Amino acid sequence: MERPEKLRRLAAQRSMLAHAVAGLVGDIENMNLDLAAVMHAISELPPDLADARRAELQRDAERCSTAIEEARERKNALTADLHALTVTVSRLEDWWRGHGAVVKQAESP
Amino acid sequence: MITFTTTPEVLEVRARIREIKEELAATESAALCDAEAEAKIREVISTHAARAQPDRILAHLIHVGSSSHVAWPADHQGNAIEPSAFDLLCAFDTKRVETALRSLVAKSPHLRGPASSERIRRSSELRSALDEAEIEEERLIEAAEVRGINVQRRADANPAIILGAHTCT
Repeated sequence: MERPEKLRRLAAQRSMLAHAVAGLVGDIENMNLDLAAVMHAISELPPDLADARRAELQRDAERCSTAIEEARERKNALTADLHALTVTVSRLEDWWRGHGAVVKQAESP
Repeated sequence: MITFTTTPEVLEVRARIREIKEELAATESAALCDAEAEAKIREVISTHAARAQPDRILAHLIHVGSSSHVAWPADHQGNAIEPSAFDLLCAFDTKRVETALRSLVAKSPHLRGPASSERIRRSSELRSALDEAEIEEERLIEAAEVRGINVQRRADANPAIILGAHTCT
């Protein structure tokens, strides 16, 4: 039986949110790879190289770390929203499976 | 990107919903009044008397058999399901048990709850108030959505009210 418009809208929101969380997980993985590359570059620097290059790489590493931390916080917040929305949608779908037919019958002229 | 927040109006109505639910739970789990306790005494005695299986005992007494003891049914581990002393008292000395239990309740200093009719009336009032508050909450959430603000539903919100179908069921 066709679900009510509100339930379909909430289910669509949940899909979008799940997509956003998956996107952030991918972003965090890429940023971790960037950070690993910078750390590797720092470790490979010859000891006699100018401090300026080392300082520049360390600033890059800090920027990467900050970005990763921010992305993780966003991902955690979105994951909590996704969980809450999933609970709501599941409860509504369960209810609709049990009562939808009665509601449709009562609404029909 | 979808974000969720909770508006002050929704928070306010949710506080009211919480209060109503607390009072509803307290009302529905209140101590019984003496008349209800009296009814429960009879119910307890009847349930335990049935567990004594007087028919099985009688069948043993009036039929020829080689065993001198009653053959009780067994559980899945083969242990006999025998009636307790209380079960037997309820079956064979009903009046005594009834008097003892009535006296136990009468002497108890516990707070008596409201009469069942009063509890049912208050419970019904609270359920109506809860429905009204949840309908208002959903209206506020929908109004926020129109303004571009997404508000999460409560995990224990009434699905019928969210879907606008509570009068149909």
